[in-house]
Amino acid sequence: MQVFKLFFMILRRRLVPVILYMGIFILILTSITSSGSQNESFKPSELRLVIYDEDGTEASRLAKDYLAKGNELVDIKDDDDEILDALYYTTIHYAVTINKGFEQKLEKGETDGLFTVRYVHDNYSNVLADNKMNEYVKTVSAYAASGMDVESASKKAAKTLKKQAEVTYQQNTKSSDEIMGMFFQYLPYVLFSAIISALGPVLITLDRKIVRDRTHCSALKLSRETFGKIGAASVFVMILWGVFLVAGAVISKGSYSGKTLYAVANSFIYALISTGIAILVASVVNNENVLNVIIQIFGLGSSFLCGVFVPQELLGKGVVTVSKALPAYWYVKANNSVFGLSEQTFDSGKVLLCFAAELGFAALIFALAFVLAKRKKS
Amino acid sequence: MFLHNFKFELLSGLRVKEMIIWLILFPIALGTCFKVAFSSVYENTMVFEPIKVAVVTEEKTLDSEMFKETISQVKNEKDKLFKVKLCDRKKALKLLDDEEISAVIFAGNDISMTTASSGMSVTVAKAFLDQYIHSRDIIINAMKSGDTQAYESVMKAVSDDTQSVVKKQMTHGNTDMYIQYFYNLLAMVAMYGSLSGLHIAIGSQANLSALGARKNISPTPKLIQITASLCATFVMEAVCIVIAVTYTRFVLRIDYGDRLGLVYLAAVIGGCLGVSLGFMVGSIGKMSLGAKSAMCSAVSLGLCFFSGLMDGGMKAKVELAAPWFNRINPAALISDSIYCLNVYEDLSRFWEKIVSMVVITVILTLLGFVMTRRRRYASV
Repeated sequence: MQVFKLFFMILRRRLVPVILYMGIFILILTSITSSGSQNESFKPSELRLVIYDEDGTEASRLAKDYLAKGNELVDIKDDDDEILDALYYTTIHYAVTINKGFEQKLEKGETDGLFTVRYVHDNYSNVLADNKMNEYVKTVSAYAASGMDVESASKKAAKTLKKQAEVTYQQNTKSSDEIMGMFFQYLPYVLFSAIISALGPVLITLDRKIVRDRTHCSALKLSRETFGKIGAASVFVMILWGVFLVAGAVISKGSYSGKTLYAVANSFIYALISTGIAILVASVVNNENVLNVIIQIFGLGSSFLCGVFVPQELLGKGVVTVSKALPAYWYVKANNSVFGLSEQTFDSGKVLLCFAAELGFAALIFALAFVLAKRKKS
Repeated sequence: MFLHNFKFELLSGLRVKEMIIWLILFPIALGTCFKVAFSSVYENTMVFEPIKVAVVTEEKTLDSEMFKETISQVKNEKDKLFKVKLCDRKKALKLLDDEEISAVIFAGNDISMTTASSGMSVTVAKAFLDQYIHSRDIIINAMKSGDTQAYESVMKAVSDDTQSVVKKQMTHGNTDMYIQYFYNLLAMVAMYGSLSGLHIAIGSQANLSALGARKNISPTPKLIQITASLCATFVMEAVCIVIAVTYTRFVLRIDYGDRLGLVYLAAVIGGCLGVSLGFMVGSIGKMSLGAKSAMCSAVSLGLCFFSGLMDGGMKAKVELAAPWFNRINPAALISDSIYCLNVYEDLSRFWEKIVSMVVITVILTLLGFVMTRRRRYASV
């Protein structure tokens, strides 16, 4: 009990940094999670475009109106530098110029080089925009070929192109907990970093020679000292874990029930693992700044390798083989199964298997921490 | 006196081996993780996968047969655009629910689609359906007009390959989206320089460290002491960050473009910025070293997060919501400056970022000086 009390006495003196860390990690979690929104209807990907009409004719105006439809039109000065900045920061995806002579060319039946587009990132969105322009030109020239003048052909084309295939959105049974899924997807990084950042310095202080020697010269058994330390750390971690779960419920505006309880259990096991790692690292490192650097190496490194920041199905076979040796891999695998992410489907057997693997890691880490503590005393 | 202080600050800094080793190991370990993870991600995302769709024909018409023929033949530049599965409604919807396909297309007199997501592959599928409907309507209208010559002209216009778009790539640099994680990694190494900068402030305050107490009773002016400490820390941070750039460029073979000298310059100035941030934070109030270290780490982590270290799209989101923050966020400035070198021919943007970094460094250093000057201690 003495070690237990001492732990919280040290923690009280270090409450400001702990609150600071919790604040920054909840901010990170909120920013990442809130960027994923739940869809209730089909929404085609919208592009942010800037369109410059150099022709200034009725035909080019109609073309501009058509291109703007379904996309977001942004107003930026026609200057290469400004456009480059906007493209770089993705304030816009595409800068389209309707070239001079647009109407004249269409009248002659010429369709090549009517638009000039400026871009930085080559991606599928650009292909979609190119197709939209080509389809418009094709439709106008088809109507013009049937004998219409360009203006009437443009109006008729705009009318024809209004017709769209009917799309029904089927709410997927697996996507209903999308925001909750994202929250639990990113939780291992945040949980790991927050627990070690908050717990590590307290444990380092507790392990400082002067404090350690005082405890060791007492009649307290090593096992009682270690369990006192682990017990206090566990209580503290449960409080941190509880705060994150409350934050998760607030961010996702939901509650924990049904399948999400598996995710809660998963995060609980991961919190245990993080506690074990914190005890282990704090017993070999005695500098708080070094501890910070190590947290980031392990936290960020395992998050990238195990599929926290990058979907697990995109990782190569070699990476997956390596990441199986890390607890975060099993956390993410269980989470993918619970929320149907990364092409996984819910399978309680598979989830429990992942839990078993994580518990195995936890047991190994705590055993290692105990051995290290024993060696240090001897 | 300055040189004497500078020399001994450098020597005492070198004795904190543990910290220096980890600051050097940090980019090496994390950079290797990034390289391993992203090389496979890049391969997996660059290989085009045909969009998986199910086509359901509930009534067999000429139109539905034509559509099935068209969709199974349509190709993009490299391969087939769609992987089509023909099945009944029940099975198709089950496949959609199991996420084995992106969309179900119902082909009859009318073409419609059911989907469970709004991703790019579904948007492409919908664009294809729209195009099909438009072309079909135009051809049917031309047929109805009864004018054979007009019909032939319309058919030619619809089937001709149109190249109405002239594309102008604004940069010839490396626009691989995953390289930005390495820019942000360098930014984080620079931001961790703040932990070294913190020690300058702590080491100059008599109420916070024994070294500070000793320095305060020496006759050397505080300005010279702190300037020498700052310069020595700048040098050590510069060495750490130069090793980071060298490792990522020559061992991990990250393509920083052909202006490597300027990449080193940006990284070194970024390192100085990190040190000055730590110096400024360390000079605030009377908090202990532990509290100030936590403050520095948390602030560095937050700045790197908003610069895109954990989520590559974060900087763009910040640009839309609060563009001013990207202009003053030190981590974003460091990663942007290296990005500018890689992407833009013109160096004006790069110098703009460098000037911003230098100005912020000077401001933070001056703030640190102002906060630490003229402190007198009656008792420590």
